Amino acid sequence: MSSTEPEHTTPEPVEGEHRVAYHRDLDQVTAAVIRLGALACETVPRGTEVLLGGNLADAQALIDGDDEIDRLTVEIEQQCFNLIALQAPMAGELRRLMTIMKVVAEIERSADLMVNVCKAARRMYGSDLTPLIRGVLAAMAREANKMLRLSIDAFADENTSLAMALGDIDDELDELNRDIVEAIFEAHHDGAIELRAAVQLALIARYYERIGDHAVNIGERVNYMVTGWMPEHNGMLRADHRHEFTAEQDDVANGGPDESAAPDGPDD
Amino acid sequence: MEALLGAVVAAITALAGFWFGRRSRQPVPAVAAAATAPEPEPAPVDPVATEPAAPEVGANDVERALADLRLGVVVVAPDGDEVYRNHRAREYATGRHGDALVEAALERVVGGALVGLSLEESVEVYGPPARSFLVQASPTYDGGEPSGAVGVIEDVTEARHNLRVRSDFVANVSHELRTPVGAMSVLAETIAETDDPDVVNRLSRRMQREATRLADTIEDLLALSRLESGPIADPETVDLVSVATMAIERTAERAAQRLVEVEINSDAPVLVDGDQGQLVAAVSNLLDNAIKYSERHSTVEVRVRQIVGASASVGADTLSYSARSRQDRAAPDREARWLAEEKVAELSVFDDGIGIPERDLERIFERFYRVDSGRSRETGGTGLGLSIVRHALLNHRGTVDVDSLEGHGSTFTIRLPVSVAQRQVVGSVEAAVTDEEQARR
Repeated sequence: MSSTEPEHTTPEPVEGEHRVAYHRDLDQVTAAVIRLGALACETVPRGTEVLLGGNLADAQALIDGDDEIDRLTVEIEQQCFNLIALQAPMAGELRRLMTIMKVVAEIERSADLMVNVCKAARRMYGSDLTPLIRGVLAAMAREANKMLRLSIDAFADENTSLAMALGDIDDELDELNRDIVEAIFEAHHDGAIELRAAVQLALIARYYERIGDHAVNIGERVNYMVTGWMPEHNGMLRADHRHEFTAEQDDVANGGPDESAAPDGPDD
Repeated sequence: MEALLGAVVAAITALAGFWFGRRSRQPVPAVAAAATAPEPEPAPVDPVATEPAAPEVGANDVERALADLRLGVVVVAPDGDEVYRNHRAREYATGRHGDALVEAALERVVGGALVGLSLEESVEVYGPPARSFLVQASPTYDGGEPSGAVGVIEDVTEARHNLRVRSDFVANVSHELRTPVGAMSVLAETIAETDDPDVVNRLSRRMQREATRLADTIEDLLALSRLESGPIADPETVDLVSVATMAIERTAERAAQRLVEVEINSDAPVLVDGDQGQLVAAVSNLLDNAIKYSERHSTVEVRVRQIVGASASVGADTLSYSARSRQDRAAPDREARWLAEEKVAELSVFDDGIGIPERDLERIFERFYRVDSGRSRETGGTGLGLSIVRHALLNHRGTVDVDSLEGHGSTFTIRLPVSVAQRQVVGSVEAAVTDEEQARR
C-alpha cells in the first residue's frame, strides 16, 4: 500500500482517510518526543536545586517522577513498533521512526542521570560544599540543561547544523568537568570536604557531563534522520578500509589470497 | 460551517460563565489536579438563557475578543476534536520545553472535562526561565446535554512572583525590626536584675550595638522611601569617576579593616546628569558589599568607562561562565531602548569573593532579601543596600546588573545615559576613543 510513497511527502487529499491517520500518528509521536524532552530537561534544574538547596522531599518527587518519563518512553517506542509493523514506512519516514526509538533512549537515560544526582545528593546530605564547587556545579547544570534543550530543538526543527554543532558546544561541559575535579582535589586537600563527599561529587560531575554526551548523541541521530549519515559512518568506512588494507598486506606476506584471515581481520 | 460556529458561540458563552464564576470565588490553592464533583457550575452555564440577552453578538465578535485574550482558550467537542483554539493557546500546541508540558497538562484536564470533571492543574516550569501556569478545564452543557469541554491556560508567573516578593517582604521586615528590639528588651531585663557592674557594662554595650543596628535599618528605610519619591527634579552634571573616588573614600575604613585593596580604573571623566549624593550612595553600597564578601588581602576593582549602547550587552567579561540576573522584571522597555542607541556611562565593581548562588541572583535587589540569613549576622548590613542601588539607578534612567558565580566572585555593573553636556561638547573626540576601544575588544 505504501510501496510507491516517496520520502518526505505530506499526505495528499487523494490518499484518503488511511494515510491521513498514519501521518497524524507520525506527528503525534514526534510531539510526544518533544514532550519527553521537556520532562527530561526539567529534571536538570530541579535535581540541581535538590543538590545545592538540600531539599530531600524534592529529591523523592524527582525520583518518583522518573517513572512517568519511563512510561512515556515505553509508549513512544510501542507507537514506533506499531507504525513500523502496520504501515511499513519507507526511507525518510522509516529513518524518522528508527531515530525516535534511539533518541528517546538517550533522553530517558539523561533523566535517569538526574535521578542519580538526587540519590548522590541524598547520600552526601549534610556535607557543606565550598562556594567554588557549588559554583562549578551550577555552571555544569546550566550547560547540561542547555545542551539537552538544544538537542530537542535540533530534533524538532530537523536542524542539522545545530545537531552537529552540539559536539563543539559539549567542550564547555568537558572543561567544567576538569575544573570541578581540580576543585574537589583542592577542597579535599584543604580539609573542606570529606573523602566520602569528594567521591560523590566526582560522580555527580560525571553525571552532568554524561548528559552532554547524550545530547551529542541525539544530535548525531537527528543528522542521520535528515541526511542518512552520522559520524559513525566515517568510523565504519575507516574500519572497512583498515580491513582491506590488512587483508592486502596479508596477501602480500602470504604470496596470495588467504581465505581464513579475511572475515575476522588480522590474527595478531 | 454554521453548525461549527454555533458550537463555538455556545462553548464560549459557557466559558464566560465558567471564567467569571471562577474569578469571583476564592483563589484556588495550587494543588495538582484537584477534582470536584461533576456539573460544578450550575448557575450561568445555560447558553439558551443568555442568548436572547445579547442577540447581536456574532461568532466573529466573540472570536476577535478571545483572540486578544491573555489566556489560552481551547474548546473541544464531545468526541475530543478541537473546535476552537485562540491565538495564545496555539503557542502552547506547537511549543517546546515548558510549553510542551503545559500542553500535556491541558490534554489531561480536558480529558477529564469530557467525562464530566472540572479539573485544574498547576504547572511549575523550572526553565530557565522559570514560569508558573494554571491549567483548567470544565465540561460544557447545551440545554442540559454535554456539549464538550473548555480548557483555559493562564500564565501566573508574574502573579506568583509578586505574591512571593510581598509575603517575603512582610516576613523579612518584621524580622529585621523585631530582632534588635527583642534583643534590647531581653538585655534591659537582665540589667534590671543584676548588680554586677561588669555585667551591666557588657550588656549595655550590647544594647548600644542593637540600637545602632536598628537605627541603621530605619535610616536605610527612610533613604529608600526618599529615593522612591521619583526622578530627580534638577539634575546636575556629575563625573562618575569622582563619584567612584568619593565612594572609595567613604568605604576606606572598612576596606582597611578587612585588608582589602580598592583599585580604580578609568581613563577620562565620564559625565552623567543626576544627583551626586544618590550616585555616591549607590556606588558606596556596591563597594561595601564587595569589600564585605571578599577574602582578606584581595583586591576590589572599580572600572568607569563610556561605551556605545550596543556593546553594553557584552558587559562583564571577567567571568567565563557566570549566571546573569534579569535584574528588574518590571523594567520598562524604554530602558533597553536607550541602552541600544545612546552612549552609556558604565561603572563596574569587580570582586573575587564568595559569589552569589544562581537562584538568588534574581532576588537580591528586593528589600531585605538575604542570600543566607546566617551570613548577614556576621557581616552586618541592613539588607537594603542593593534596593537603594536599584532605586537610585531607576531615578537616573539607569540599570544595575549582576554577574556572579559562587566561588568565583561577583561583578555589579551600573549603566546610565551619558550627560547631555558631554555628548554635545566632546562628541567627536569621544566617538574616536570609543571606536578605538571597540576595535580592541
